[in-house]
Amino acid sequence: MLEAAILQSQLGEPRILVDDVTSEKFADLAGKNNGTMASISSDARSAIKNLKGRYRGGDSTDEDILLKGYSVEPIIQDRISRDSVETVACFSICWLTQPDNLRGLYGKEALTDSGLLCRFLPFTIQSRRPPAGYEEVEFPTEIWSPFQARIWELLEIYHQHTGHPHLISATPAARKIIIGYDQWIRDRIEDGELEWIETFAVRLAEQAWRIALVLHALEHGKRAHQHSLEEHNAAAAVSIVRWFFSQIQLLFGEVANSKGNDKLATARDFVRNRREGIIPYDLFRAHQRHFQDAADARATLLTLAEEGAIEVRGNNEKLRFYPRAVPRG
Amino acid sequence: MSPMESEFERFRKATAQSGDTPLNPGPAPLLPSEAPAETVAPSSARLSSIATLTPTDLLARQSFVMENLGIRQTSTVLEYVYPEEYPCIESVVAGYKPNKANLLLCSPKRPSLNVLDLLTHAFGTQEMALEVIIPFLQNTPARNRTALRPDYLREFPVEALPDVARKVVHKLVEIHGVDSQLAASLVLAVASAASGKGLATRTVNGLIAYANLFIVGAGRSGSGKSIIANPFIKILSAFQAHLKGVRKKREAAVKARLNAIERQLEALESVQPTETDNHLPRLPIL
Repeated sequence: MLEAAILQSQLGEPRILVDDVTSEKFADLAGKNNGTMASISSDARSAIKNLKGRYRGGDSTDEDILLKGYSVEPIIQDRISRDSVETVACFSICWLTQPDNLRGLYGKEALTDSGLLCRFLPFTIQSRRPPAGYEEVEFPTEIWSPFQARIWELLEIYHQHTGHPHLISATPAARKIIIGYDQWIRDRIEDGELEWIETFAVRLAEQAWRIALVLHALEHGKRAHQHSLEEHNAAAAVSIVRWFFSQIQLLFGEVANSKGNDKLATARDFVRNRREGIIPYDLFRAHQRHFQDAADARATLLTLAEEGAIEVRGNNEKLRFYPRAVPRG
Repeated sequence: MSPMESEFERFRKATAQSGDTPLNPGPAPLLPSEAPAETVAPSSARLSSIATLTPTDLLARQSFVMENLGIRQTSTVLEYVYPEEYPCIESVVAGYKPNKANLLLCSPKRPSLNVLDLLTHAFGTQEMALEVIIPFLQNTPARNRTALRPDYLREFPVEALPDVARKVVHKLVEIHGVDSQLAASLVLAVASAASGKGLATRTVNGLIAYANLFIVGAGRSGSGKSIIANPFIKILSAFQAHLKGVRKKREAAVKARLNAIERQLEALESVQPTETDNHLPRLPIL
C-alpha cells in the first residue's frame, strides 16, 4: 500500500514555482511536491492581496501556512472537499511589488503581530531604469552560464533531496561572528536603542544564519554539504543582514509617515461636513482604527488647526473644531 | 575591478589569514600597500597608520571628529556621516518618538567604544569603517562630504556575494542600470529556493536553520523589476519543465506498476478463507 501511495504521488504534475495562489492550494501543491515550493514574482500584488486576506472575512489575514513554510514545520490539513495534506513545508519567497503595496503590507499590524513580517527581508528600489542605448547588448554567457549551472545543481542535489537534510557545521570562527552579532543586537535591545523595532531585531541573527547558508551553497554548489560553513560567508551574511535591517528601519519610517498623513486626511474629511463642529471624542468614536484614543484625535485636530485647515474655538478644556469659514468677498 | 572592490577582497583574504573577524578586529589589519593613492579612496598607508593606533589614540581622534563636527554624542556620528541614508528620520521620530540617536543602526551608548568600533559594528568590516572615518580625519570641508561618501555603503553590499553571483549582479547593474539590491536579492532568492530543505546548519541551542528566505522588494513602475526577475524565474521554470519531462517518461512504468499492485490486491481479496484461517474462535452473535 505504501508503494502505491508513493507511486500515486509520482503521477501528479511536478511544481516548484507558484505565483498567485491561495493558501489552501499552496498547501496542496506543497503536499504533492515534497513540501518544497518557491514563490518568485515580479508583480506580487495578487500574492500580497491573498496574504492580506483577500479570501478571508473581515480583517483576517492569511499567513499561517507561510509561517510554517518559513520555519520548515509540518502542515497537516484535512478537508471534506479535497484530499488531505500532510507534509513538512519549506517555502522560499521573493515578491516584487510597488512601494504603496509594500507600505500597505507593513502597515498591517496583524502581520507584524503574527511574526510573519519579521521573517521578511524587505528592500526598496530607489532609481528608475535609464533609457536603453542603441547598441545591441547581450548578457555574456561566460557570466550567466556558470551561475545557471550552479543553481541547477543545487536544485538537483538539494531541492530534490528527500529525508533528513544534509547538516553542515559552521567553523568556530563563523559561529563567533554570527553569535557575536546576535549578542550585540541583544545588548542594543536591552539598552533600549532597538526596543522600538525589537521584534525585527531579534530575528536578525537567524536571518544571518540563513543567508550564510545561501552564500555557502552558491560558493560550493553540489559539494556544499562536504564543506563547513566558513568565516567569510558568516561575515558577508552579517553585512547583508545589516543592510536589510537599515531597509526595515527606513520602511517603518515611511509607514509611520503615511499613517500620520492618513490621520490628517481622515480628520480633515470628518470636520469638513460638520458645520456644527466636533469634539475630539467624536472623531475618535467614528474612526477608531485610525486613532488610539480621544487624545490622539485631539492632537491631530490641533495639527490641522495649526496648519489653518480647520478652525478651533473654546478654551483649553473644551475645544471644538469647525470647518474653516470661507472668507467673505 | 574598482579600488573599493579590491580593498574588500584584500581585507577578506587578510582576515582569513590572520584569523581576525570583523567583529573582533585584531591589533593590526593586514592591508597590503599597493592601493593607488586617490583623493576619495584613502591610501593603504593611511589605513594602516590609523588601524594600528592604540585605543588612547583612537579616543583622541574620536574627540577630534566630534569637535570638528560640533556634535556631543558618539552615536550621532553615524547620522552626521551618513545623513542621506536616513531621509525619513524626521517621520520616524514623529512616529516613534525616541531620541534621534536611538534610530541609528549602531549607536552604542557605551562611552568606552570609540568611533572606529562604532563604525565597524555599523558597516560590518573595519575597512569600511575606516573608509568613513578618514575623510573626517582629513579635515574635509562639510560641502565635500557627500562627494566623499563611498556609494557602495548606500547600496547592497554586492562584494559580500560569492564570485559566481557577484559577477551576475555587477553585469546586470551595468547592462540595465538597475539598483544592485534588486539583482542581488534575486540571486539570493533563487539560490535559496534551489537549496530547498536539503541543506541545513546547526545554529545555537540545537536549533537548525535552513536556507529558505522570504524577501519582498518594492520599486516604482519602470524600475526594472520584471526585466531583472524574469531570467531568474526562467531557471526555476526550466527545472520544473525538466522534472515534468522526467515524470512523463516514467509515467507508463508507474501506471503499469500501480495496475499490477491493484491486481495483486484484487487477487488477495478474492481468495476464500480456508480451514487453517479459521483458527481464531468465532465471536458469539449477539
